[in-house]
Amino acid sequence: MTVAKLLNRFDLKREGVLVIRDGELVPGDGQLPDDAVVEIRSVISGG
Amino acid sequence: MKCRVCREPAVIDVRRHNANFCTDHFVEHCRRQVERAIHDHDMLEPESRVLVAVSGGKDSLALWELLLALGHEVDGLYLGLGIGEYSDRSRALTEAFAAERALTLRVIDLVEDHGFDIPAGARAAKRAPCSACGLSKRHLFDEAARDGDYDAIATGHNLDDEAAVLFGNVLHWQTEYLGRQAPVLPARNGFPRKVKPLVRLAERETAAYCVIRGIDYIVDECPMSAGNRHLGYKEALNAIEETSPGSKAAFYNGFLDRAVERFVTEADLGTDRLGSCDQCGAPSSNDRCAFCVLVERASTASGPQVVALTEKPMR
Repeated sequence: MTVAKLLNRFDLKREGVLVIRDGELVPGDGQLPDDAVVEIRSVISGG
Repeated sequence: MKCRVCREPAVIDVRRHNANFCTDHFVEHCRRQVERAIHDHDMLEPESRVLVAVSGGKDSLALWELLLALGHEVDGLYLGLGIGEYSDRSRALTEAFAAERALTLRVIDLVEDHGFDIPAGARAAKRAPCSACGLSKRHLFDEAARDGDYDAIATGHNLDDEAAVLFGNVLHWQTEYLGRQAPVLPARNGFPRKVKPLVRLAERETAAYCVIRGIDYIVDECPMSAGNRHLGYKEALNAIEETSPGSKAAFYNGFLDRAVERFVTEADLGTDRLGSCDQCGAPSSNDRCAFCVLVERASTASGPQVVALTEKPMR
């Protein structure tokens, strides 16, 4: 599965999140293995 | 996805620039955007002494590092707000950031230095916590910059912050705030110069910068900001950005290019009438500034007292 599909699955806008795996950013077209553990980190702060 | 610069694998896309970047060229992109903001808006001189307001969040820590990378002399100022574990964690991250880089960090603690925390101050002022927080930050940052003889205060307001504030101010036609939303507020009437060097970077970019640079920042949102209007404006703008990349930048930059000057006079008139606070000497439109009133009310709060927070906010 790609990161873009993962975000679509959770109905997340990519402008509002980063996907991080093993401490590194994964781009939208990055492929995630079925057993991958990733952090979907919100980047929106209240200001 | 390939890096626009070197064609190596990219780690992040910046859709409003129709560009993807590898780690090295993304860092370069961030530095270039900050450099351009400083240059285009005449924010800082190379020899300027800068005080950056740091919260432990992604924007302020990224800003501190970016300004240092561009060769500026920058110290940090952290304000402890007394918001439970959130404040404890954000202070620890800020102090670790400064210590690892041997940077000068000043710390002001509302509880230790002024006898109240933000939740108590908000109750005493009968205002939203964000209002008491903003008032305290503006007052104490200004005071620290004056006392430390800094040339400017730099804050981590990014493109999303500024677009959201603009959106809210336009929705309610708060023209006195529109006139003060330029990314530079010159020093005047006892207020230090204030600059916002991140206005060309979206918050997704400042977060990505921190991940790439290994900057450990507080990811959790301030518990007192949940449900505030600012977050709702950001979500609305991000929904537009999703289908029309570049809309936020066009909205904010178009305002700066074509509209902000139309509102400056009204804001200037408000500032020019200020006297000084009898208690602390800060610029104020009343005998006592709103912060001194807040401190007194918070320290003696026991009944249904109302504080008039009449000072204009920074923007």
